[in-house]
Amino acid sequence: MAGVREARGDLHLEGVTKTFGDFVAVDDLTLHVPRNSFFALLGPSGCGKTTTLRMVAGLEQPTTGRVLIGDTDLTGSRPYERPVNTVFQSYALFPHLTIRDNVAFGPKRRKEKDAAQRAEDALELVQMTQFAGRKPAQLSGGQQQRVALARALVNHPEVLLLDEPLGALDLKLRREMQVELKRIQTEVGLTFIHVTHDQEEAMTMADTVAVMNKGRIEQLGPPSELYDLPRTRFVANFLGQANTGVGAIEGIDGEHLVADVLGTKVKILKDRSQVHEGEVLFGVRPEKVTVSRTQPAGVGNDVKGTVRDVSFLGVATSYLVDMPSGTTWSCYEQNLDVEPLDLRPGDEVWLTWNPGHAFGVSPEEA
Amino acid sequence: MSALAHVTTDPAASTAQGPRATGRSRTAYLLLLPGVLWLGVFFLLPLVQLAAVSLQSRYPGFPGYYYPDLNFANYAAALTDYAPHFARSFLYAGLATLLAFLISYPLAYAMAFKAGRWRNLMLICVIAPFFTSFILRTFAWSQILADEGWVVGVLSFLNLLPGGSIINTPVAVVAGLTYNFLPFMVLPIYASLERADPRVIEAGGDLYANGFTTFRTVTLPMSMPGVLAGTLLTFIPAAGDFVNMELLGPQRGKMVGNVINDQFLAVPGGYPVAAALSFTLMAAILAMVFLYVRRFGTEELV
Amino acid sequence: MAAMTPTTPTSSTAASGPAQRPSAARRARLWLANHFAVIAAILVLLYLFLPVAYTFAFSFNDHGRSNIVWQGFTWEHWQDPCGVPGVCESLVTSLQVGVISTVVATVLGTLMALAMVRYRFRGRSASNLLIFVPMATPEIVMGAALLTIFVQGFSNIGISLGFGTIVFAHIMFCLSFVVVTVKARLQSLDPRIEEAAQDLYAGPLQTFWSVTFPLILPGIAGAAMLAFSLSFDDFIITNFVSGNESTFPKFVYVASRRGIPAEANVIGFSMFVIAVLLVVGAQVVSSMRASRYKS
Ligand SMILES: Nc1ncnc2c1ncn2[C@@H]1O[C@H](COP(=O)(O)OP(=O)(O)O)[C@@H](O)[C@H]1O
Ligand SMILES: [Mg+2]
Repeated sequence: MAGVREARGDLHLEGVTKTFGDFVAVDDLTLHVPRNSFFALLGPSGCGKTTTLRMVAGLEQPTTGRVLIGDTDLTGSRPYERPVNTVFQSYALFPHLTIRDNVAFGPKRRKEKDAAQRAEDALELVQMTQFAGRKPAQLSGGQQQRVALARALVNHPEVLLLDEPLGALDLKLRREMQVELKRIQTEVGLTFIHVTHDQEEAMTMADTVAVMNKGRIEQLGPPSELYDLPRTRFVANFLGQANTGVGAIEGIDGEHLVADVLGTKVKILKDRSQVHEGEVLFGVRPEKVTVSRTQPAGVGNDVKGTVRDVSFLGVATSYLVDMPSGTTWSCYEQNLDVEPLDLRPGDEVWLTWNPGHAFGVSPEEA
Repeated sequence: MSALAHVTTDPAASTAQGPRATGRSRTAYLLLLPGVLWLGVFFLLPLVQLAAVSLQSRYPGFPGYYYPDLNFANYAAALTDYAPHFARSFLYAGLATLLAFLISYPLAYAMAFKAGRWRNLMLICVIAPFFTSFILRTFAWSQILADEGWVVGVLSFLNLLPGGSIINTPVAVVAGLTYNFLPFMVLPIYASLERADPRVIEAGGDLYANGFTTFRTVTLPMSMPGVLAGTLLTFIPAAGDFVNMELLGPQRGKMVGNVINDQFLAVPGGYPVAAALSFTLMAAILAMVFLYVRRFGTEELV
Repeated sequence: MAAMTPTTPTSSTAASGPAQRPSAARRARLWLANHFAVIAAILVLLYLFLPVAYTFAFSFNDHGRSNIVWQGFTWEHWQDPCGVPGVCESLVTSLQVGVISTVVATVLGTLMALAMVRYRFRGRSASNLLIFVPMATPEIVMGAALLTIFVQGFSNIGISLGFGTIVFAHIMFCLSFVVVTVKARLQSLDPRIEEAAQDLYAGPLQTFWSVTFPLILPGIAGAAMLAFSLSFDDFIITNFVSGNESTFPKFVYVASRRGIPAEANVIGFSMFVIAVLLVVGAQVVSSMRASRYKS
């Protein structure tokens, strides 16, 4: 295992499965994380994100499959042999050591000569220099978070794992730290794997987002792509809002599939639909839907509904509209017009959208 | 002594660390080996020997010499001749446990909910008396309860003492047992009350608006693990004790501990019956403990 | 009034209106109901200290042959606590036994606690039982069992009753209490903290010495204190296995027939004072540290 600590390159998970008893926490996961990228693992609580990280860190061994950095197989090696560091969900700072000693812990174990200087530099990077002499219990949650980050960064790991690092912070602090983390990642240029269940956080920070559900990766790609063209029902609903309806595909009209969603004919671009026959879950994002009082002429993708609720949000107005099918759609209208639509609950409206924005996925949950 | 609070742990605590079933068993066995060996050689092996002795027979005419045998008459003798001693041991220990519970609870309650910044001081006060020798304190009770002492004086003056005497009566023995094992009752109850959330008790107060109902339905159940541990830790040593009887009790009507002690150390040729008595005492207490724990406690004992 | 004391059982009778002052008797009852636990606690603490006060007082008793009733005041026993033959020798024996037993039991017990908390292995519940049963066994049974094996079994291999057998026995009964105390501390330790150390390049031994050990040290210290006090104060088991060796409790017990010499009171009370000072000192130091963190 001599080479493990010197492993360099992209992170690969190859067919990694982890079972606890007969419960499958991570299911045949294959993943490629390019070196120096900011990668987000996004998924609901309990979907196996922490377990995945722990296998990369070496705190847990996969039941089957391999973990590699570059060409070096890490599987089976111990956590202290891997060039990987973790920012734990609960920070896990050493309560008996000062902040300075917490940060210097890694370099000292690696017998770095300039351990103290490195710790100072790392503390400076996270702007915690003035707290170096304190103990963790004397810091706020946000400060502890920064220390946990410094303690991992100071080692210049090949891969840095962050397990919901901002989960315990309040909203404002979380936004600040998102920007800060992004800055630090650009500055130090390490591979960051950032685990979160907050889709907004994943989308604003990461180059690549992997959406995980029940131990599997449902979809992986740049945030804009995931949002624009989800490939599964889970991704469509987990990443942002989507107005959806289940229908049957009835035929083809040139570039489009035509589906009947509870009496309304809708069109979906063929290459924006994952299914081409049978049942389909039709979807369109709220901001892609236009609300008007009268039926717009000749567009075709329109439905009549009844306004249930109007909320004025400043830059936009959000409408909840009851559809004839019984579902409720939500729509955002930018407040650009001089004379805004003056809609009240109970008013009848027409909703239209560009069929190019619609997407279709299988109605089955994976 | 706070360790005693953990004789029963809540099941949540033991399952919470389930995921950390890491580590290789070989290391575990190495870590356990010295301690287990020690307990094997100086606890289990002696018990086996005690069992063997309890079945030995005497060489007639040679007190103090025995030969290996399966002499169950020793047990018959232990159970018939000394039945009253067993009864007294369990009765006095039971009374002492009950009294200790009644005395301890208000103290533990006050420490947990009323003491505020005095809490640590009170904790020290509970433990501190036990830094003087147990025998010295028991002897002090013989002076406090003596016929010439102020306790007897006050009680006689109030006509509350028909016998005219406390020392050398079972009352003094129970008093001594109660006193000697009190911290074993206070500390576990305090520990379990301290873990309880006072807001739950306040909520109970709002629901019932009656101090006693709140206590019975909310406070007491929450402290049950502590009460369980405390009663065991009081009852077990009290039932096997002989010092309180020796220093405070009457000449006749001893407890089983006195018999065992005398048969082993004072009476020549007493080993087999004394061993049978010891074994019976241990079996009876362990049986009670397991029934009691099964009835009120949690699965994992330590 | 009713609103102020919602938990008192008699609040239903307080509906007579706020203008009316409650009777003095009622106020006294309310006050008692509110302060019952505190009053009871103070009385119990006084009760706990009563025999200690007697021990202290009788250390000044100018007794002749028997120190049972008060006969007059003297400083004599405090000036020469070793004045009675055997008392200081027994004290030294007790201290030696206590220190050796504490060190051995604490080391062995800590190792066992580590195994029990950190590993899952076959025989774990049997080990658990082996640790629990000595705590549920009356001392007299353990003493009797040890006596039979020392006299009938181990005497063949050259072990006779005395200092060694006392130490063997004390280590045995202290062990379970050490395990339980250290175990509790280990269980309350967040396993992530040790994982963090591993993640930061500390191997198993480095993790233990740099993180686990410092964090469970208060538990180990508590266990050691407990072991020492159990050993120092043990009489019943010691009485069975000590042969001709005398420990301080045994000395006191033997002497109690004729009244314990006041020198023993001096020693007993001094041990009490030393122990209390140690405990209070440790408390003060730790609370001073805590307040330094806050500033
Ligand atoms: N050591 C373990 N033993 C048993 N089940 C576990 C263990 N660790 C995790 N799990 C289970 O695996 C699933 C995934 O857990 P985790 O990876 O922590 O989820 P996430 O971090 O995404 O919230 C959960 O259902 C959890 O209960
Ligand atoms: Mg998690």
